[in-house]
Amino acid sequence: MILRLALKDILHDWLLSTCLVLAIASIIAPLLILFGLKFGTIQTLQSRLVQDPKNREIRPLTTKSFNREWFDTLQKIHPEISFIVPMTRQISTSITATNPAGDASEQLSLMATAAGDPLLLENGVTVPGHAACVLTEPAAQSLKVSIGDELLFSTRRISKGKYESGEFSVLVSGILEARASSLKTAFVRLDVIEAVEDYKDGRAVPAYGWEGEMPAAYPVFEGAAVFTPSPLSKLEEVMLTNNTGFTQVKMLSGEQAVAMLGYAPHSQWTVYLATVKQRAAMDESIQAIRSKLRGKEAIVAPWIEPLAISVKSPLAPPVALKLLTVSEEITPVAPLSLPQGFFEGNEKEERQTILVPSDCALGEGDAILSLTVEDRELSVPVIVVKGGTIASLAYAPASFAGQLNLLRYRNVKYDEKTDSLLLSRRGYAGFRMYTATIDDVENIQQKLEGEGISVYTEKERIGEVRRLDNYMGLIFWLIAAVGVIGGISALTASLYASVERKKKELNVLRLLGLLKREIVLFPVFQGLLLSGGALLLAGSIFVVVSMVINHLFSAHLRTAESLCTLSIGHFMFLTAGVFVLSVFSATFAALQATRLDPAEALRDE
Amino acid sequence: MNEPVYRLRDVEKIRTKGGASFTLRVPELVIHRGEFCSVVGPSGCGKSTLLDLLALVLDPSRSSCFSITVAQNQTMKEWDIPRLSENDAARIRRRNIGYVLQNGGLLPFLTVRENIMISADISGRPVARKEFDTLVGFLGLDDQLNKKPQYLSGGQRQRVAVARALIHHPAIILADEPTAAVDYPTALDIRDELKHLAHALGAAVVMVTHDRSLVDAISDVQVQFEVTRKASRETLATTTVK
Repeated sequence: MILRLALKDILHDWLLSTCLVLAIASIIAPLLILFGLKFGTIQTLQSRLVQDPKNREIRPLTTKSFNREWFDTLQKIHPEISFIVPMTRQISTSITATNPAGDASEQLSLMATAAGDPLLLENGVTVPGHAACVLTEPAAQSLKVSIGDELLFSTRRISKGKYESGEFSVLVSGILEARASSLKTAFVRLDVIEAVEDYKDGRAVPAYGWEGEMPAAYPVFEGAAVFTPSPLSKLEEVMLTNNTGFTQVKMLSGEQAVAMLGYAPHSQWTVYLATVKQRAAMDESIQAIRSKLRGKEAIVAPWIEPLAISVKSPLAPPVALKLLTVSEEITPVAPLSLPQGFFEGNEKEERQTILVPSDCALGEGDAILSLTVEDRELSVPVIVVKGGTIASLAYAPASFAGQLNLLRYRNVKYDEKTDSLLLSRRGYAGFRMYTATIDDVENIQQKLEGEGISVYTEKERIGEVRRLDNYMGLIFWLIAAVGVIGGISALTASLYASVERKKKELNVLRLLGLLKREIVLFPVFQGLLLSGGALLLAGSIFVVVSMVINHLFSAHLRTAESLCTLSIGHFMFLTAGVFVLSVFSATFAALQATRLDPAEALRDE
Repeated sequence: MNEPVYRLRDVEKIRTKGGASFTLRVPELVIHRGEFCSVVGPSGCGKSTLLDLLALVLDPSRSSCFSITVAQNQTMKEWDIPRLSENDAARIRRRNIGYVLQNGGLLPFLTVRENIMISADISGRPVARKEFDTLVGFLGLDDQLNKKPQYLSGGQRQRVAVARALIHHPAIILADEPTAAVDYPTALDIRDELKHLAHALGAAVVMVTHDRSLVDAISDVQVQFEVTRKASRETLATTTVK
């Protein structure tokens, strides 16, 4: 009944009610638009300016060698580094690009990029894939190319007193606007820059068909198995660790020998295992032991710590095995039935052979051997031969097993063209790094400088930008605070005044026997109805205005972005706030109005 | 005579305003069911204060006996007024008291029909259509039912107020200068209508007026005031019953 009375009163006084609704709406609507802008994309645009990748970039000032592990651990320790890509030496990044028409040619500097590069992504360019590049706008202009064109990149080197040039073609997959970089730069994947550097250094780059030296993977071992017809003296044992690269010697029993070596030597042989600590041994160490034991009829064979591998034959699931090494020398020592030509796989165009247990689920013939050490991976085609007797043990010739074993220490890759294992590069001269926010730059700079790496950052610019951002934030909140306080007082005052106007009616109702709480409900309902109407009106005004704003600035926005927007949650919060305020002020006003004796209030008027 | 509705003995109400104090003293007043009690006197003598006391909206400052006897669940119950809570007073008021205000006191946002029915709504008493029609017919309001009060003449407004005070069949009707704003013939009409309808309901009427000639002839009880100035800022009004 009270609600009906309240509504009737509002309708009766429709002119004044409309004025009230308009007044409240005119308080709420500008606030809505202000907050709409704050929570809309203007915030995004602003933070995009503040958090511009340019401000977050960290570059080393000096050239050092950073290995892959350094990059990995750095990013692990500092999650605030959002992106880091290694760079080669500055000198090897310069390249000549020629446009498809052949009428423009330009010296470009190459810049390494990788997935997640904020400089590209935050400027709306996708990271280039294989054989593609992103050009900066100045570079694209001077080369007269656009997206989709193919460029010819050429690099030069002096080899044996003559100039040589290596060429490859690259698709322009994106153009980076001038504000991101004013230099003539091509962003390519790191392997492209590595190839250029290798070429300039005189190495071969099989991927581009460039000839030169091959950085072949060399075999490394963790030990040497020493077989002697008679036991060695203590002195001789010590000699094995003297200047040989090995640090420890241990005599192996028959059982131990089987466990460590994967085969059982004839019982007349005494078996020793010389092992290394930390650093791997190379062929020279094996030779050193051989020379120490010269004349003792000893047999020395390289030994690797069993290497976990996975072998996959076509049409069969991969099989996990432990790889051990065998070498020709041990033929007199151990009766191992090896197929013909097992040790000859080293020759060119001859696949490496591995021996797997007879009872394993692999087919003989072509297979892929893969292994993973830490985050380094390697896959090599091999020929599988069956005949092993110990379950889950595989054997490979010492040289091949040693090459695979190198993955424990360095990055090794399989090159299809030459069918050989090649060393990957060891380190990088520099890097390009971005922190997650501008606030992280200083911290990372200190960390790096603590490591002795002096770096360049946009420190001054960050300071300015941050100050400006703070002022902007402060101004916004000042305006918002004034608006909100004004809104609250205006809403309270409007409702209070409207209750004050209704004083006589409220007291008549009281005299007719309405309880006090029913009397209070009357203005409360009115307040809710009025402010509800005002909210609806303000909401509609906001929707229209935000559509206009978004339309006007649509050219500057990405799809799915809008400059002025509020979420349902914001509206709910606002509605709740206004309603609570309405109830509060109406209750207060109603209590004030009914404080006097009803009859007295009526006569006073 | 019938059983008493109001019983007052040594009821005193002191009001102070702007440093001046006004004391209303009622040594003895009993109003019975169905009586027509007029309260007459010049303005400022305490008529309205007495009415407010009877309407349960004003608490007495002092009283040795001040009670109201109304029906509750078919039995009569006597309430000690100074002890009533505000809500209890409101509940008694809505069921048992009809109030006719000086200028009608109609709600401007309701039609005449709604204005009349509101006291029935508040009291929760169902009103038969015929009952309503008879009442408004008697008061000559048949044609005005859908109008808002602002379109009525003063006499019509006052009649609507009478209808509103009667529609829920109260045991007590309090009328505060119901004829102050109308001409004399209309005042007489309204007075008669009030008297007649209250009599039909068996309700006690307390009518406040400054015009003695209006009520002299029809009053069962008349309350008058003896006003004495005790000091320059102190006034005492004592009621006398005739």
